[in-house]
Amino acid sequence: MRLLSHNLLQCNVKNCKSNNFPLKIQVDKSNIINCEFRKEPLVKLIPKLDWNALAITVHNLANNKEFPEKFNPALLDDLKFMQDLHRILMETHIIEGALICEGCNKRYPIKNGIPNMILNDEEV
Amino acid sequence: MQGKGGKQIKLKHIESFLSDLDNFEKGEFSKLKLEQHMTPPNVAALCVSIVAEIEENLEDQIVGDFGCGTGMLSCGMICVGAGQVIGLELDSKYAQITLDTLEDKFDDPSMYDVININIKHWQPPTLNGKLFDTVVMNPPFGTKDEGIDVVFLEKAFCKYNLKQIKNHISNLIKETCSGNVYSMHKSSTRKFLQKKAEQCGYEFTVLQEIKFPLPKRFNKYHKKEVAYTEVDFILFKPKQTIPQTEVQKNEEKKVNVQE
Repeated sequence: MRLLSHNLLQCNVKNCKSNNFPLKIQVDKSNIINCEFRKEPLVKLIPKLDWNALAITVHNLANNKEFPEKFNPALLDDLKFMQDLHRILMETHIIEGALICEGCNKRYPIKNGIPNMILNDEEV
Repeated sequence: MQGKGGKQIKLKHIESFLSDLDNFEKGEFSKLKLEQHMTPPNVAALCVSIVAEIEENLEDQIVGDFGCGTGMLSCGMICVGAGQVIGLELDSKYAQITLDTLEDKFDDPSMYDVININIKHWQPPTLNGKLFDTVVMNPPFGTKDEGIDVVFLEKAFCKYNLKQIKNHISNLIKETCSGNVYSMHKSSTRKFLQKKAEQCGYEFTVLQEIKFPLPKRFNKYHKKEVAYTEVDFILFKPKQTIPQTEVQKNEEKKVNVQE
C-alpha cells in the first residue's frame, strides 16, 4: 500500500465519527521501489488528495517537518519537492504494519502490502 | 509486459495476456452470497479495449476496480495503458491473489495498489476526494444480495439530491470518481439503472451486450456445465452540468466549518 491509497481510507467503524482520518500508520516493514518520475500525473494528482491528511502522515512517519502543511502552487515548479513527493506517493510501499484509528483505536492490519479494512460484525 | 502507453495492443493479445489469471476456486459454498464470478479473459479484453478507445490520457489516470476479484479488469486496464489501478476487494484471499497477479504481470509496483475492504462499509474520507479518474468494474450482480450492484455504483458516483443534503448531512455518500464509470450489470436491470443514472446526473450508454458465462462453481445452483446470463457493459458518463453542484459545494463548506 502506498500513501496514495492511504489517502482514501478512514475508519469505517459504525459511530466512529471524529478523529477517524487520516489513519495513523504503524510501519513494521516498508520498501522503496524506484519508478520513473513523471511530473504530469503528479500535478494532476495533487488537487485530488487530501493534502492535510498527507502532510500529517508524512510528519508522523518521516519526522519530516519540512513537508508543507498547506499546498502552494509554487511548489509545482520546485523540482526537488516534486521528486520528494513522487518518492512519498509512488515509491514508498508499506508492506507490514497497521492502520490505527485515533478516534476509536481500531487497528486495521497491513499484511503483504494489503491493508485489511474489514470490520467485525459488531463494528458494522 | 509494458503497461504505460500500450494502447495499441490488439484484442487477442490482451485476451492471451489475461488468459492465465486465476479463477475463483470451486466449492467455496460459504461465499455464495458474494456472487464471485470471474470476468472471462475475452470479455475483459473486449471491455478494457472499449474503455481505452473512449478515455483520453489513460496513462495519467487512476482507475478504480471495485470488487476486483482475481484482478482481471485491473490487469486488463494496465495492459491497455492505465497509469494506475487501485483494486478494492472484500475477500482477503482474492485481494491477495489480485496483488500477486499484478506483481507477477507488471514489473513496476507504482502502477497498482490493492485494498481489502467491504465496499458497503467504505466511507471515502474527503469531500473533495474524487481520487479516481475512472472506475472500471464488474460488481456482484445483486441476485444473491439485492441492491449490492447499486451500492457499488453509488460509491463511484454521487448520490446526492437536495432532500438528502438537507436531512442527512452526516450520511452523505461521497463521490470518489471524477470521470466515467464503466460497469457490468445484468441486462434485466437496464431500465432501473437507466433511471438511477438519470437521478444521479449521469448519461447512460450500453457499450456492449455480453453473453456472460456463470461457470459451474457451485454445482448445486448451476447444473449445466456453463450457464449464461445476459450482461450489459455500461458507460455512466457525468453530465457536464449537474444542477445541484452549487448546493453541494455550499453544503460541503458547511460541513467543513462544522468539523
